[in-house]
Amino acid sequence: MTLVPYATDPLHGTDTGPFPAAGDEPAVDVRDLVVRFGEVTAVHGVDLSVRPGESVALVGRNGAGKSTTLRVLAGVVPASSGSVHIGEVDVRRHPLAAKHLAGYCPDVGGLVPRATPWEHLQLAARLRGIVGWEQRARDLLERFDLAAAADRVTAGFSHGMGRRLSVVLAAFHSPRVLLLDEPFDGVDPLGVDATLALVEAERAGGAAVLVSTHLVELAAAACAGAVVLRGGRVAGVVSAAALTGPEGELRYRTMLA
Amino acid sequence: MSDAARVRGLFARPGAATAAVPPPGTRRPPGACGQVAAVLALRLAALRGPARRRALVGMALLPLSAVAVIVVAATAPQQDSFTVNLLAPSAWLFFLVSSMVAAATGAGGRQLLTRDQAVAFPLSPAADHLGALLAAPLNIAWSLQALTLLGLMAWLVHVSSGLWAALLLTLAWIVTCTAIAQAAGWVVELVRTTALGVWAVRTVVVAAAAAAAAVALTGHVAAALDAAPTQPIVAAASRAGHGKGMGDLAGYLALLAAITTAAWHAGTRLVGLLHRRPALQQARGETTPRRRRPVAATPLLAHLRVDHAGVWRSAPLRRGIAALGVIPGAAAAASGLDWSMVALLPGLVASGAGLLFGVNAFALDGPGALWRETLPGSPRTMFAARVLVIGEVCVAGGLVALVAAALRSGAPSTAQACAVAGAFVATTTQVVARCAEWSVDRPYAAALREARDQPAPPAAMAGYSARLAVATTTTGLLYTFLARGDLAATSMLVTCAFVLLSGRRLSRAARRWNDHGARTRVLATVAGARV
Repeated sequence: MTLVPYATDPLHGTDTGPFPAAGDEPAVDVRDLVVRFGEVTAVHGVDLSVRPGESVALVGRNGAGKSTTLRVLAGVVPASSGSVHIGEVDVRRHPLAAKHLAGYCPDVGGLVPRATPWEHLQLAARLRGIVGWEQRARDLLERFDLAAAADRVTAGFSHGMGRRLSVVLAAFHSPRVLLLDEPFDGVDPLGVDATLALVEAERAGGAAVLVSTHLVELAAAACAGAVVLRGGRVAGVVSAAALTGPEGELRYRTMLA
Repeated sequence: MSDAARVRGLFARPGAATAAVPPPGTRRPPGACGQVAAVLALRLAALRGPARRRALVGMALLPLSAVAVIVVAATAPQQDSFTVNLLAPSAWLFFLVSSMVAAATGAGGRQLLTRDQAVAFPLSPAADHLGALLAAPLNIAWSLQALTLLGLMAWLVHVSSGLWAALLLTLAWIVTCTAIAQAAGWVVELVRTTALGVWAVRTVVVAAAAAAAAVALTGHVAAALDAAPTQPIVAAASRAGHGKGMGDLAGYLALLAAITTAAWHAGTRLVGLLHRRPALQQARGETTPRRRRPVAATPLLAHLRVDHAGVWRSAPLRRGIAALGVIPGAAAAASGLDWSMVALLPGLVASGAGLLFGVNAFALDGPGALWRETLPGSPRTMFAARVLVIGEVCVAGGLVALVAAALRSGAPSTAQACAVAGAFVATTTQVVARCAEWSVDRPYAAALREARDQPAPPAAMAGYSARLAVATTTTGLLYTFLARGDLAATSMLVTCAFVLLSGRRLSRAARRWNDHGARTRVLATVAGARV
C-alpha cells in the first residue's frame, strides 16, 4: 500500500492527514474482501475503512473492482470471503439492516424504466419506512433540476438526467453510508455542482461517502481521500488532491501501471 | 526505468513507432441475405454448449416435423374426407388471416437484433424485413398451422404421383401468406406512427370485430366460410395431387410468385419508411406526466404498483394484452365452441400471457433492477409481486376469453363447468410457475420499450412458446376428455394435483430467488450490468 503525503484538501480546507477529522468508529469497514464470479476473481483481499464524516474516492482502471466493492457494500453482490461491516452491521449476515443504512447509486442505469421519479421515491419511502418525506423529495428534485420531470417515466430521460436521479435516490433517506458509482458520468456542470454539494452536505451531516469515478479532478473535488484499486487490490491510499495536477496525474498513472 | 517512462510505455500502441498499421480494406457491402447471415452467425456465436445444440436442433425441427407430418398424413387411412375437403379452404384462409393478425399485433414481427443492438451495424431495411420473414416460423402458431396445412393436403391427396405438386402449391401459399402478412404488419405499424394512426387502427379493429360478431350472431359463419376465396386454389392443389389440372397449378404458382415478389418489395419499402418515422406513440408515453397516487399501504402493494407500471406503460405489453383479451375470445364467440372445447382456451391465453413478459419477468425493472435490490425488504416480497403480476395477466385474459366463449355456448353441465374451471386454474398455475422458474434460471436483458421488443431472444422465445404450448394443450385436452366424460369430481381432483405440482415448481423458483448469489446474477443480467 502506498501512502502519499497529504496536501491541504481544497474542498474542506482541513490539514489533519489523508482524511479529515471524523468519528473514531468506522462507518464502513471492509477486511480482506474477496469477490469471485465463477473463475474470475473481481476483488482480491481489499481492506477499506471509512469513518463517519469522511468522503473517499475509489479510483482505478476499468475492471479494478471499484463497482464490485460498492455493490458488496450496497448488499447487491454477496462477498465470497472477508468481512464487510456498515457501522456495526455485518453486511453478509444482515443484508437487510445494511440496506437501511446505505444509499447506493449504481453505475449502470439504476432506474426502473416505466416508473416516474416520484414513484421511485414512493417505493423507497415505503420500503424504508420513511414518513413525511415529500418535502425532502421535492427539494432534492428541485436541486437536481428534475422537478419538471418528476412525473414522467424515466425511460424518456437522457443519460445525465438518469444519473442525477440515481444520486437523488441514493441520498434521499440521508443514509449513514452514501455509495455513488460514477455519479458524474455524462452529467452537465450544474448537475456536477449539485452532486458535489450533496456529497459535501451528507458528509458534513456525518455520513461516510464513497465515490467511484474515473474523473480524478471531480473525485478530488468531492472527496478528501482516495483509494486506488488495481486488479482487484488496493494499490494505494492517498489524499484525493494528491492525484490532481500534472504531478498527481503522473503519480496516478504510475499507480495504475 | 523512470515512472514517466513506464507510464508512456503503458499507453503507447505496440509497434506504433516501427510500423504503421495499414487501414482496413473495404469491399462491396453484403446485401440483405449477407447481412441477415452475419446477424444469425453473431446470434449463434453468442450461444454456448447446450444452448447452441438446442438452437441447431430447433432449426432442424421444423423441416423434419414437416416431413414426418406429410409421411404420416399421406399414409393414414382416409375417413370422412368429404367434410375435411369442405374445411380445407377455411383452413387456408385462416392461415392468411392469423398470419396478418400476428404480424400486426407483433408490430411487424420478431427482429433478429433489437434497434439498440443494431445501431452499431449498417443493417438495411431489406435485411430487417428479411429477418422478420425468416423469424416467422419461430411463432409456434405459424409453425403449427403450416404443418397442419401440409398434413391436411397430404391426407386429402394421399400417396400418389401428384402429391409433390399439391404440397408445392401448399408451400407456395404458406410463403405468400407470410410475405403478405408481413407487409400488412408494416402497413399497420406505419399507420400507427401518424398523428391519428393509433385511433385509425383501433377503429379498423373494432369494425372488423363488429363485422365478425354480426356474422356469428346472425348464424352466417358457415355461409361465410363456404364463400372463402381460397376454394379455387385449394381445388387446384387437390386436382394437381391427383395428376390433373397441371396448367392451373402452374398458373397459381406463377400468381403466388408474383404476389410474393410484390409483397417483398412493398415490405422493404415500408420498412424503409418506418425506419425514418419517429416513434410518436412511444415518445408520447415517455413524456406524458403521470398522475401521482398516495403511498401504497404495504411493501407488497408498493412493489405491485411499480410492476404494474412496468407492464401497462410498455407499448408491446399493452398491445399484447389487448390482443390476448380480444382475439381468442372473438374466435371462441364466432365459432360457438362446445364447452368441452372451451377447456382448451384458458391454456392458450395463459401461454400467450406468459410469453408477453412472464418468461423473463424480472426484465420489467430493466436497469433499475440493481437499485430495487438495494432497497430494504424481503426478496420474497419482490418475488411474490412479480408472480402476482404474471398471474393477473393470465387470469384477466382467460376470463375475457371464457366470458366471450360463454356467449354462444349455452349453459354448461356440472362436469363441463368443473372441467373448464379446472382447466383455467390448472393452466394458469402451470404457466405462472414455469414463468417464475425461467425468470430466475434464464434471465435476459430486455428493454420491452419499443413495439417489437420481446422479453427474450427469438430462439429462446420459440423454445418457451413450444414448451408452454405443449404443456397447456396437453392439460387442456385432458380437461376436454373429462368434460365429455361427465367426470366432475375427477376434474376437481386433477386440478388439485396440477396446483400442487405447480406450487412445488413455484416454491423451487422462490428458493432459488432467495439465494443471494442467484438473485444477483438475475438482477445484474436484466440490468445489463457487468458482474
